Amino acid sequence: MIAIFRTTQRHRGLSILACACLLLIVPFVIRGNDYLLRIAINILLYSVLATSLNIINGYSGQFNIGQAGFYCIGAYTAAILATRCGVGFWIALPVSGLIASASSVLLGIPTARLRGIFLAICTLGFSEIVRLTVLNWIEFTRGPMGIPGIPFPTVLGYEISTNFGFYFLILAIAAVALFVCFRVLNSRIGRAWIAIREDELAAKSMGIPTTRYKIYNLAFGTFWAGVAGCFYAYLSSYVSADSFTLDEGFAILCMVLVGGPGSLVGPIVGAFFLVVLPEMFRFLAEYRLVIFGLAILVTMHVRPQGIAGGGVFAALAPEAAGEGEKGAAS
Amino acid sequence: MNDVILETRSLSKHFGGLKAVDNVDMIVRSGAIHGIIGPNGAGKTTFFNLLTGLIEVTSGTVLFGGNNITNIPPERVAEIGMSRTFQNIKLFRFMTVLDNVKVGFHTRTRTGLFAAVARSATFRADEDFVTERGLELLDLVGLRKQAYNQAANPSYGTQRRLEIARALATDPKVLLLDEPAAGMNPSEKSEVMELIRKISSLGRTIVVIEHDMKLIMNLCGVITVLNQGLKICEGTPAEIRNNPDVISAYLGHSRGA
Amino acid sequence: MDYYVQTLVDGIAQGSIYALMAIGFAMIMGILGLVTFTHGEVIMVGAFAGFYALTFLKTGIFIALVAGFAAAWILGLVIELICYRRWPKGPDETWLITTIGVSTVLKSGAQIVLGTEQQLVPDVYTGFWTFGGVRILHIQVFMLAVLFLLSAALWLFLKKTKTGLELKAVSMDKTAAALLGVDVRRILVVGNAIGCALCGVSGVLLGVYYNSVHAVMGGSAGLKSFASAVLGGLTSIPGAAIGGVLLGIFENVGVAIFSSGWRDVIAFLILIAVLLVRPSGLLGRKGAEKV
Repeated sequence: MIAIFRTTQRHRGLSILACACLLLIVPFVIRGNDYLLRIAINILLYSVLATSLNIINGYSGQFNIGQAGFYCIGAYTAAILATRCGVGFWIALPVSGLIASASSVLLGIPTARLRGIFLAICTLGFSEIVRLTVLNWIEFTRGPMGIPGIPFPTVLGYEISTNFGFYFLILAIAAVALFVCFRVLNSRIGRAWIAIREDELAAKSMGIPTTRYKIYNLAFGTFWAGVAGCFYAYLSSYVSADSFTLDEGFAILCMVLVGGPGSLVGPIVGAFFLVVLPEMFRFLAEYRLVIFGLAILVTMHVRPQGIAGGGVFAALAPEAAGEGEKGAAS
Repeated sequence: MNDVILETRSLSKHFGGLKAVDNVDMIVRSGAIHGIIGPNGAGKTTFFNLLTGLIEVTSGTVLFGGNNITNIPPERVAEIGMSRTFQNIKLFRFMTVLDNVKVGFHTRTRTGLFAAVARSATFRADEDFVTERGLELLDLVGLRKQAYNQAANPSYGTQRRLEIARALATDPKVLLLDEPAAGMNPSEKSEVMELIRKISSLGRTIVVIEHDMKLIMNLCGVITVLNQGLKICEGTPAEIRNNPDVISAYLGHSRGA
Repeated sequence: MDYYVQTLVDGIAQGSIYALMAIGFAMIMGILGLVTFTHGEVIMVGAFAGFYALTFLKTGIFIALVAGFAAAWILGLVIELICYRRWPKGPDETWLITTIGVSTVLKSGAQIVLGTEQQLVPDVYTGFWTFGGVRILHIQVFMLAVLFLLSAALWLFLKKTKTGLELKAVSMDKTAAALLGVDVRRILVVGNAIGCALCGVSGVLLGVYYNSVHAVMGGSAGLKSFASAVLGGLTSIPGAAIGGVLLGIFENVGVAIFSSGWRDVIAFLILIAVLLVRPSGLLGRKGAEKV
C-alpha cells in the first residue's frame, strides 16, 4: 500500500491522468447498473464532504465534528432557492456554499479560541441546533415534512435526470474542489493553516493572525460542505432534517480519520472504503455506524496516521519532495 | 551612541503574588548585541513574553522605536519588526525545513485566496520571493542541504538554528533569542556564536538570553542581569563580572539575605 | 408564584442527576486529565442496566442503582483498555478520537441490540407531598439523597483512603506522583472506573425519573454532563455538583419560558456562554499558562 503511494507521489502527473481516465471510463462500463452508479456517486459526494472536513480537522487542527450541520445548511439553502425562488443550479451551488461559510463564521467568531474537546462539543452542538432549527422553523423549512420537488439541474442546456448524468456532475464538482483545495493549501494561506495546527503560539509569533486564519479556514472548509449539500439536494430532489443527524457528521469524520487527515488523498480513500464496505456486506447495512466506529478504533491502534496518511508529510509538499531529490543528486 | 530601538519602562508581570518581572527598565540600542542573564526563575523568558505580547503586561510600558507597543498582540509585534526564538523549541514539526522558514515570510507576502487558486502574478512573485529568500536564510544558518527534510527530524542544534532562520524571515529589526545555545556541545556553541555575530553584522539588533557565561561575555556589548524578577545591574561584561550583586545572585543568595 | 417555585423544585431535582453525571465527568477530565467523549453512552448503559434490573429481575431501586454502578464500572475498565492504555500521555486529540470511536460503536450497537424504541421504566416511589400549590415527588427527594450520599462517599474516599490520596497526587502532577512510587496506570484505571460508575448511577436515576430509557439518550445526556462540569469548572468536584444543579434550574426555567423542544439548546447555549465569559468555570482553578 505504502509502495503504491510512493510511486504515485513520484509520477504525480501520470497518476492523476490515470485516475481521471478511470473515473471517466467507469460510468460507461456500469451505465446500465443504477445501483453501481449510485455507489460511485456516493463515493464522490462523500469525497467532497470528507475533503471539506479534512481542510478543517486535518490542516488547521480545529477538531470539528459537526460538519453535517453545514452540509444541512447547504442542502436546505439549495432546496429553498430552487423550489421557492426558482433559482437555477449554477447559482444555487455557490450560494449554498457561501451561506454555509457565513454560518461557520458566526460559529467561529465565538469559538475560535477553543481547542480539542471544547471546540468539538461546540461544533457538535451547532450541528444539532441547525437540525433542530430546521425541524422547528416550519414556515421556512416545512419542519419534519422536508422539502420535496427540487427540479433536475440543467447543465449547458441539458437537463440532468439520470444517475449517469449526476455522476459526471459530482465528478466535476469533486475535481474542482480538489483542485482549488490543492492550490490554496500549497500557498501562503495553506502554510499558515498548517503552522497553526503544528504550533499556534509559534504561528502567532511569526506574524500570522491566528484567530482570523482559523475562521478563514473554517469558512473555506465549510464552503465545500455547503456545495456538497446543494448537490445532494438536487440529487435526491428532496431534503429533510433526518439526513443530517450527528451520525452523518460522525460518518464524515470517520472517513477523514480512517483515510488519513492532513493529506488530500486520505479523505478520498476513506470515503471509498467506508462507502464500499457496508455495500459489500449487505447484511451489515444496519451496522454501518458500528463499522465506522470500529474502523476509527482499528485505525488508531494499527495505523494512527490513516490509510493514506503519513503521508501527511509527503503529500503536503509534493513539489518540494521532487526538488529535494534533485537537490540531493546535484 | 546609537539610537534606542527597544525600551522598557518599569515593566512588571505579577502572577498572583509572584512578581515574575518587577519594575524592569531596560534600553537596547540599535545594532547592539544585548545579553540578558540571571539564575533559573529570574524572569528572563517571562520578560521576552512580555516584549512580544504573548502574555499581558501587569504594569509598565514597552517602547519600540519610540512607539508604545505595550500589550499589542504577538502577530502585530512580528509585523512591526521584532521576532523571537523559543527556549523550548517550537518548530512546525510536520513541515519541511524550508516551509518553516516560508511561514516566517507571512507578513511580507500578500497572496490571497483567489490569487492562490489562479496562480496569479502575485502568487508567483510571492512564491519565488519566499523560496529564494528562504533558501538564502537557510544558507546563512547552514541548513541549505536539509531544506526538504522534515523539521522534526534534525538534531537539537539544527532545530535551534532553524528557529533563528524562521525568525529572520519576518525581517526583524530586533531579534530576540531565548537560550540559542542550550543543550549544545562546545563546537556547536561556537558555531552559534559565529552565526549571531554574522546576523548582527547584517545590521540587526539582537537581544539574547543565555546561561552560558562564556558565550554571553564574548558576544555582548551590554548585559542586563535579572534576579527574581528584578534588574540587579546592567553594564559591559567587565562591569558585570566584578559586580558583587551578580556574584551573590549566582552563588544562590537573594538580595538582602 | 407557585408555578415558579415548582419550576425551581423540578430544576433542582433534575439538576441532582446532572450533578452526578458532572461529578463523574470532572473526575475523568478534571482530576485525571483524560479526555472523554463516551460519557453519554456510559450513562445510557447504566440506565439500561438499571432498567433490566427493575423490569426483568424485579429488583428494588437500590439493586438497580448497584447494577447501573457495576455495569458502568466494567464499561469504564473496557474504555480505559481501548482508549487510554496505549497513549497514557495523550495527546488530547488521540483520546478524543478513540473515545469518539467507542461512543459511535456503543450508540449504534445499542440501537441494534436494544432497539430504537423507548422502553418504559416502571414507577419507583410514586408518592408526593404537597405544599400549597407546589408538589414535591418522593423520587425527587430520593435523587437528591443519592447525590448527597455518593458525594459524601467520594469525598471520604478521596480524603481517607490511600488510593484516594494517590489519585489527588496524580491529578497534581503525574510525573511527580510516579516518582513518589504511585502506580499511575492503576490510578487512571480506578479513577476512570469511578467516574464512569457515577455516571451509570445517574443513568439509572434518569431512566427512573422520566420513566423511559432509549438507546440514543446518551447524546443529550453527554452534552448535559459536559455543560455542567464546564459550568462548575471541570477541575473541581463540588463545582461540578453545583454546576449540575444550576444547569437543571436554568434548563427548567428556560423550558418554562420557551418550549421543551429547545431543552438541549438551552444547555448548549449555557455551555458556549461559560466557555466565552469564564472558561475556568465557577469554581475551577485557572491553569497557569506556560509559554
